[in-house]
Amino acid sequence: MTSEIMTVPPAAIFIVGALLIPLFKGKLRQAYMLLIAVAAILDVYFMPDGVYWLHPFMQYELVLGRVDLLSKCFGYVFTIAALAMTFYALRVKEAGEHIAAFLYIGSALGVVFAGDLITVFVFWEVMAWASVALVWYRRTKASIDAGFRYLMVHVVGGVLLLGGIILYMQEPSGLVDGSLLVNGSLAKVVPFTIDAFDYASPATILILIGFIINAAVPPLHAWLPDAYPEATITGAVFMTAFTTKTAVYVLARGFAGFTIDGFAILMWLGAIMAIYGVVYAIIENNIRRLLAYHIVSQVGYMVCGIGIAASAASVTGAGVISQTAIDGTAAHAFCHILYKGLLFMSAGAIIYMTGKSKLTELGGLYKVMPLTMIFYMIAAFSISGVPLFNGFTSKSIIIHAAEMAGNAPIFLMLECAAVGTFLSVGLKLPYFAFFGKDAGIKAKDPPTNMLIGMGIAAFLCILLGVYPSLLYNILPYPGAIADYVPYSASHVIGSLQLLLFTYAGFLVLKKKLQPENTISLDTDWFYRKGAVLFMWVVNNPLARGTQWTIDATLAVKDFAVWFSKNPVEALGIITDKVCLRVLRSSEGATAGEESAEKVLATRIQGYPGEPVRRDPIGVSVLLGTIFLFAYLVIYVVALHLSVYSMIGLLVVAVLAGIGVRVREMMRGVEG
Amino acid sequence: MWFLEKWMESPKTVKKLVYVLYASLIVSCLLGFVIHFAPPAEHAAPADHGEHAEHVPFVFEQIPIFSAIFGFIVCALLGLGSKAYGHNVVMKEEDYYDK
Repeated sequence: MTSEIMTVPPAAIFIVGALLIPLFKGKLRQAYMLLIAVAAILDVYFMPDGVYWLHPFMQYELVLGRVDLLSKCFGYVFTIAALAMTFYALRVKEAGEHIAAFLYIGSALGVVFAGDLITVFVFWEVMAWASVALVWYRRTKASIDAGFRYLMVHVVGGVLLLGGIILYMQEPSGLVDGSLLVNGSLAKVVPFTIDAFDYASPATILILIGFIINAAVPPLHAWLPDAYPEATITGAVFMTAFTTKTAVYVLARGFAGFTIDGFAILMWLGAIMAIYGVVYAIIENNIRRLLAYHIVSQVGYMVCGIGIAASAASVTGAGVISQTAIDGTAAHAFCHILYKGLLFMSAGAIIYMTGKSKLTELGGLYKVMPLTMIFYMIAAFSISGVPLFNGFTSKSIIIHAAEMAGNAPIFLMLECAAVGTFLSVGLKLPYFAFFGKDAGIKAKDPPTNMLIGMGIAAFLCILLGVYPSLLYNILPYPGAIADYVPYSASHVIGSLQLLLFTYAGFLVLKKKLQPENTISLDTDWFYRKGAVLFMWVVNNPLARGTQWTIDATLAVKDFAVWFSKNPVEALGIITDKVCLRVLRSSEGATAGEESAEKVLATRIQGYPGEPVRRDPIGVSVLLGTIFLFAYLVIYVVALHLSVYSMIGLLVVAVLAGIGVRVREMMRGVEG
Repeated sequence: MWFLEKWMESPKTVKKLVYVLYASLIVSCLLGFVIHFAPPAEHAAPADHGEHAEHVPFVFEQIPIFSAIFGFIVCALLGLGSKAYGHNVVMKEEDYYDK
């Protein structure tokens, strides 16, 4: 029945919709943008499963519609989040910012429903360029700088991805006939299928690096906590949802079986990432940067889930474990987008209403922004995995998969990250921003449209926490987790113990965890300081090097010009200069120095003088003598001498000449 | 929201809340013991899931208050460890990159 309804690529709804935004103004524009978001949700709902929307491009076929449970799951949450976030952003006056946001959402949806790698790459690039506008619209120097760094990292990632795709096209599975996907297609397709990359080769590694740059896997993650806190209030909310989650999606699709000689690298990277983000969040002072580090941490769970799926490929009962892990990843991405969006909306509301973003400057806000506080706490409980909130029902699937795989270290690392998450997002940030010492800030709750956006996200956080089956039914492998019960007595009580004792620990350590007015260096140090070093090298050694060659060439030219004006006199001057130096360096022989200097000065002053000597006969006799002597040496003496002795003779002759001239000078020379 | 403010700011409430916390800490641990020694009702389900992998908890999960101990210790380690790492390695004054 659903196939009766005509659908279009959801990417097209947002991208075409974005271009029409400037045509509307005021309330009409707001209604129009909400309409687009609703249309996209319905569109995703009615899209039939299958592969369609092929479009020829060069000699390839682009596949714009590859719809299955995995892509639909991400499609749903992307469009639902887009609706809530559009509500939140309604009051933004700037049409350009809305256009950037919609292009960004559209291209993220384009990646999700792409059936081939060329399409993935194209949308991947659009996503980077559209999202950087959301940073730049903040219009501060910090945001412009951060935006450039963000862009450079993503451009590098895009180039690596493209390189990987091109190499992949040379591999046997990398370029197939389109007719394998859709009947009647004649062109070639670079397919992007489930578990396409389950082996390590230059192509898959490059593609993997391209993907994990966007997933913010350390050490390639620093762009995220660098740029997100500098984005506009609403722009940051959009950014939390799409870049990292499209990366999670493409990893879940292509790399769910990826191991390097049986080593599931993504599982370990993900677990390390989950803890890494938490550690930085604990020492962070800027509220949005603190939350940004929790994106790194939470995406760590998802990357770890994908890795668990890959690691389980060789264990008995692997099918179920892998499928559970992928379900957990998709479910957690779904919930994460909702609660992280809500966290950024609340933090954005604080910054929007108070103009302050540092924990050291905030405090006691619950009195003036109670609704924001409530929405924030709903999101904080969700991310911390408090029962009845959505994080509890999604995060636990990944941890459950680690348990099923019998992997104790991963299980404990993920639990560690859960403690750290509650510690910094559930306790530290709200304590020092909403409670704690009253900073006496005059503010109130944000405007209604922002509250509606936050309300939608908060409602869904609780809804999916209370009725997890709503989410479980749209996961890629609903069969694998059909038996999974999140609300088992042991799980609920275990979680409560974990959270309550973390709370107790926080109260004990409250003084030690006081926020401090600092920034924390991260791996962006290497390119931020590296860039300074690079510019120094360009400005100093390199610039001087270029200047030196120019100077040297000019000096040679100047000398040649000077010398050619009167070679004989020039030689004489040079000789005199050398002789004078010899004279000076020899002690006690200062008698003729003064007169010699005077003579030299007059010679230099008179240069070039009269180039043609007045006594031509003397000169010709001299030249004749020199040439005859040269003949003698070359034809008679040189035959019996080696090159070295020739050079030796020459040196002796020069020295003798200088000696004669020096002697002359000591006696006193006249012009 | 003045009533909430008045209620929250009084030292009495704070004291009460602390007691509530203590009580819930103890109750959560007790519940841990209860379900540990209670007859395993959920595990009585027939094991006919065929290829489904059996859910085998880790040894440490058998401890009834494992999560409580783990939560407290990890909280302390993460809190102090992160701050120590920050102070000794990465935390710098805010104009670090502008210099």
